[in-house]
Amino acid sequence: MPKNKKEFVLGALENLGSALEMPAGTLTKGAQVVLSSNKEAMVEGCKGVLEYSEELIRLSTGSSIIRFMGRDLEIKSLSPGQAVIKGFILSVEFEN
Amino acid sequence: MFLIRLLRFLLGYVRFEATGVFPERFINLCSYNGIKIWSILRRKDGISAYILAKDYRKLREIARRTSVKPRVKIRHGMPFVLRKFKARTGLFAGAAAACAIMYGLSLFVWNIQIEGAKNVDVAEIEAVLKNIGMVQGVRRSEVDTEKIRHELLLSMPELSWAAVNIKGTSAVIDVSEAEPTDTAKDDTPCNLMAGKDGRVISVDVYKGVSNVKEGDAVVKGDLLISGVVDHLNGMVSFLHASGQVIAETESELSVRVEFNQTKMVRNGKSETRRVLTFFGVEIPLYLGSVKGNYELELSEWEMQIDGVNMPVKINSGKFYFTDPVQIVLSEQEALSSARTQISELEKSKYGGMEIVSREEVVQYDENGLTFTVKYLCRENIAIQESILINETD
Repeated sequence: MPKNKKEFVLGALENLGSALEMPAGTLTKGAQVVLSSNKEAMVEGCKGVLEYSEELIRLSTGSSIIRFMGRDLEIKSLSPGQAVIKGFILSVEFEN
Repeated sequence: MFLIRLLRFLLGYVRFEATGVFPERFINLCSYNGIKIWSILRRKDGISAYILAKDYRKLREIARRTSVKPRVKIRHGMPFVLRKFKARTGLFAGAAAACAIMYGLSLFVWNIQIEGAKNVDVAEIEAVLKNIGMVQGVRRSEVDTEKIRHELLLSMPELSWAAVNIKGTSAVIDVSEAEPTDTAKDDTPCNLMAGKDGRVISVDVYKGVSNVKEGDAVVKGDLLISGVVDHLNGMVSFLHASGQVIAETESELSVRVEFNQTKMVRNGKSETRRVLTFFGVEIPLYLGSVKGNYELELSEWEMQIDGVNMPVKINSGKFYFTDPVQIVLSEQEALSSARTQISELEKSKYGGMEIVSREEVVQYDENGLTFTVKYLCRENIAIQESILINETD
């Protein structure tokens, strides 16, 4: 599928989702990040680990990259499509 | 979370360290191949993580592709515990046998407790229960509590209520004794007849019409108090006659004692034989049988723990050997023996009666003596006899 068409379809799905008042990302299969305070983060839609250290963990979600920065970071569990990050999370950034 | 930990323990898991240049690729390939790893910690030269024991073998190929060297550091879980005892099959066999025996024994009733019996003899209740089939060692599934309760009450009218409860391997039989019934409340028409020959001393009529008076001589079977009442208007009533007719009765007791007697006297030798009853199985703890003349004394020891009878008991029998000894009693000794025997008989026969007089007669002959005691007693000789009523058209 051409990139423009893909972006058009994604945009249309997002509009439909917001019109139906559904949570963002439900129809577009985007990654979901659930933060529990700054101690734990569950990432759904995780495709793989790009970088891993105690201060920085970068996860690929397909359409974007999520960067977790903090101290004593560890991957508590990793399974196809889901990862749980544990430690002192100082910031969460998205890279497109 | 506890369930997950339990599951991991049952399946077995290991902590491993993977050293290499690109541990992220290693992690991604594990995830891509469906291998679950958790608690991934970054180390200087690699990572450490936990993995299920069954998945560790799959790491080999991934490690080769990512140039990472995995090494097991710690093993956890049931499979590794069982491996230590692999050579100790006897231990597992013994544990399995113990479990099987415990389960098997729990299918039976081993302790029967009877509670609530005050005047009724517990041994009598136990004997009745034994006839019904409620004994130590009976299968719990075969115990029909309702049937046992019903049959116990039918067999023992002294009991007014009973309940059978099975708690584990114990059967608790709760009973309540019946209050003595007042026979005067019985309304069955009856007469009072003379149970013995005698001379009437006093007549107390509670219900009915007296047929005798003081001083009358009556024989066994004579009508004393009638339950048939004729009214002036020609009607006849049938009552449950009640009352007391005290009469003087004569009777005698007689015993014979021989001068030459053979008595069995203990010679000082004895033997003890024991039988162990273990969960209903009787195991004799002796060999051979006892021969000769003996006197036997029985005793029983039953194991108890915290007041609960256990199905383990030892029945002991002590055999005191005796030898026959010829003895010749003097007249005084023979008479003394006769008096003792008569005294025992007197207690059992005349226990509740008033003895007005007693006359002793001793007859001696060459072989022994006959000791006779004639009694004059005062007792209630009235006994009930039902009136048979035939209804005619």
